[in-house]
Amino acid sequence: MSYRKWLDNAFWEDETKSQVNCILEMEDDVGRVTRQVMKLNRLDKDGNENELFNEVVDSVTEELIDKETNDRVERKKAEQDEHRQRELEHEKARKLEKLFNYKLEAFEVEEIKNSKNRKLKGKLRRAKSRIEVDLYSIMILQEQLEADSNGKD
Amino acid sequence: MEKTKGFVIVASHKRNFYLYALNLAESIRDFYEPEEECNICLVTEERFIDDRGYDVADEVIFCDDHYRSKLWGMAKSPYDLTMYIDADMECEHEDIIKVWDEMKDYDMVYSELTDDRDYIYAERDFDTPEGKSKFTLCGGVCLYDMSKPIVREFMDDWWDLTYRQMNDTWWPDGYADSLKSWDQFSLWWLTEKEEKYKDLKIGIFDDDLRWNYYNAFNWARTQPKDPVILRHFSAGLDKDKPIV
Repeated sequence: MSYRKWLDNAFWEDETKSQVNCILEMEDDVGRVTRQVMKLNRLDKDGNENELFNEVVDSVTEELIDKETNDRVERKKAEQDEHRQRELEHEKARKLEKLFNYKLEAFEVEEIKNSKNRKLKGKLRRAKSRIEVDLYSIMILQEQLEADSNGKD
Repeated sequence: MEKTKGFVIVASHKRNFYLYALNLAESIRDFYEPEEECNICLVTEERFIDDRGYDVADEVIFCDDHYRSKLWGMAKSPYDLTMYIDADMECEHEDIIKVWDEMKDYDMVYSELTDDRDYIYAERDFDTPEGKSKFTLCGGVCLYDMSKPIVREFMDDWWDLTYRQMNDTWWPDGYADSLKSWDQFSLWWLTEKEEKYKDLKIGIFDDDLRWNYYNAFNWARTQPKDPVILRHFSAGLDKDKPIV
C-alpha cells in the first residue's frame, strides 16, 4: 500500500520561520520507499501561501519544528566545539612530538651528551617549550666550557 | 626472599631506538624515588652502546639487530618483577614507583586495546577460521613476574613464535599475512589458543592509559583519570631518519 508522509525532523531555516527544511517520505505501489529533502517557502514569489508548506506545518506541528530547530542548533554547536577541541588537541600532540625530537637532538650535542649534571639534564628533558630546551642547553654548555677552561688553568 | 624489581628497555635495529632508550631510562631515573632503588636493564646492540648506556643502566645485555628483539630482551630480564617499556616512551610522573603494586596476583599485566581507542590502531580486527577477532592486549608495556616458571616459559615462547612467524617458518592457516609483522598476533595466539597458557592470570593496569598513553590519542577524546606516567611517542617519530 502506498503512502506519503513528512518526517518529524523538519526545522526552520531562519528565525522568521519563512522557510522550512523537511523530508517527504513516499512509498509507491510496489513498495519502493524514497525520501526527498525539500526547502519550502511560506509564501510564493507573488506573496500567496504555499500549500505544501502549510501541509508540513499541519502534519509535523509548529511546536515540533521549533523543538527540532533548537535541538539542531545545539547539536551543531556541540559538534563544532568538539571538532575544534579535537583539532586543538591534535595540534598540541604534534607539537609535543616535535619537542621530543628537538630534545633528543639537544642531547646529541657533544657537550650535553658528555655532561654529568643530571639535574640540568633532567630539567632539559622536562622542558615544556623549545625556548626552555635552548636555555637549559646553554646552561649545560656554559658549565662544560667553564669546566674545560678551569681544567686548562 | 623479596622479589627483585626492575625495568627492561630494548633498543635494537635502528640507532634512534638507542637514543630513545637512553632518554626513557633517564626519565625513569628523574622520577623514581629513591633513585638508587631504580634498576634498569638495557638490552641493545653492541654497535650502539656508549658511555651513556653504561651510566644509565645497571645491567647491559647485547642482542642482535632483529626488529622484534624486544621479545628476546623481555625473556632475558634479570629481575623477578619486570616492567618492560617500549624504548620510544618517556616517563613523566613520580607514580612510576607504584608500578610494582599493579602486579597484584597477576602473572602479567598489560594496557588494553579497546573499541573506543580504535581510531589510532593500524590493524586490530582480523579474520580467523572461527570468525572475526580482535587484539585486546597492547605489548607497549608489560609488567610480568619472571619468578614464575610459566611466565618465563611464556616469554621464551612469545619471542620464539614471533621470530618464526616473521621468518615464515610458522603461520597458522586462515590468517592474513599482514598480521605476520605484529607481535600482538603471537601474543594473541599464545593467550587465546595455547592450552598451556589458558590459566595464565593476565591483568590490565588500573587506569591503564596512565601507563601507556599514546601521544597519537586525542586528549579531548581519550584520557586517563589521573596524570600520564608513561607517554608513548610511537606514531610521531621518524625512526629511520637519524636524529642528528
